[in-house]
Amino acid sequence: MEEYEKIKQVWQEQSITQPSEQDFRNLKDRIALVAAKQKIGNIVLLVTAGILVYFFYHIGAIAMTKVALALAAMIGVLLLRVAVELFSIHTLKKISAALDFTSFNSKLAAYYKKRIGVHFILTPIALLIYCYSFWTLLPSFKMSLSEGFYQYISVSSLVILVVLGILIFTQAYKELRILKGLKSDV
Amino acid sequence: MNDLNQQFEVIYRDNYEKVMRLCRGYASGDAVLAHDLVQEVFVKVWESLAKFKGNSQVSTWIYRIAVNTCLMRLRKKKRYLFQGELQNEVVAENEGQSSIKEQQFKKMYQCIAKLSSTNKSIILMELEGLSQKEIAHVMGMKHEAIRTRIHRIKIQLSKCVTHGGV
Repeated sequence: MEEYEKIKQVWQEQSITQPSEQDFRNLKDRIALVAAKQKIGNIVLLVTAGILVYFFYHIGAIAMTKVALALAAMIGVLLLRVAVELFSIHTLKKISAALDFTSFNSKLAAYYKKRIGVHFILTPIALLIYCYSFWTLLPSFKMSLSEGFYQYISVSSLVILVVLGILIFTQAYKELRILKGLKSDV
Repeated sequence: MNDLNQQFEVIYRDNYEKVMRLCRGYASGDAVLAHDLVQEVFVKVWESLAKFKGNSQVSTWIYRIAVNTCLMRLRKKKRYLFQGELQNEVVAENEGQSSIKEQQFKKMYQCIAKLSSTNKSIILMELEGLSQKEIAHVMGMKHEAIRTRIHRIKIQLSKCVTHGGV
């Protein structure tokens, strides 16, 4: 235990500079930034939803039953996935960091278990519905759009799908790693 | 300035030093990362301040937030700093001191980094001089369990610093 007392002494000899006025101002700026980011995030999502609904009516999809259904399914799964994401962020934020370590860890583990369900069940179903709906829309696009624009939509949608897939996989992998870390924290 | 703002500034100034030391422990001595962690801890303190009812001591409350926030943040990092990695900036602020001191700091951080996150949290608070009872409150564990763990970690840490392995 003599060695440990030496370690403790070394630990307490660490020099820590007292925070300056500027440090405190920087902290207040960061607090303001966190609040602003939340507001901006909500505004962006609301605007996106608005644009999608506007687009739906603007192209007159409501008059074409098949197109309307396909578009509504695409917009619907997109909005559902965004809503799930928002709910998840809200749930995570609600887990108080002021809880004791054990309770905090078990709440986090429960949260990440649910997230894995979202990644491996809900997201693939949403992606399948989205892709199927898009596929049913292709003949209408071919009829009403120019050849060039049709090609652009077909290729870009594939690219978007691949990018989206990579993003979803990365996020799922990251959250699985966190869950594994939480389980081993004993 | 309202009451909450004033209270926050007092808490920040009174607790900055101990939160910084704790965060450095988690960050394996990386001063830049530790500074960032400290900011994140105090952002959480600000967010939780209005809900703080004073059921526990302010220091226990701060340590809970600091331990949870630092571990959460480091879990999200791609490369976990808990693998015994030590950053180059480790002793940046101690450059003026003797190389022996630097070596001591380096070895200490390396050995702490080798511990599991629970053991690391416990020993960091012990090094800070918290009572076992207070550590038990922060960790949500029984006093007896903390006592046993501390004894074991002290031996582990001493062995590592002396012989270089946990």
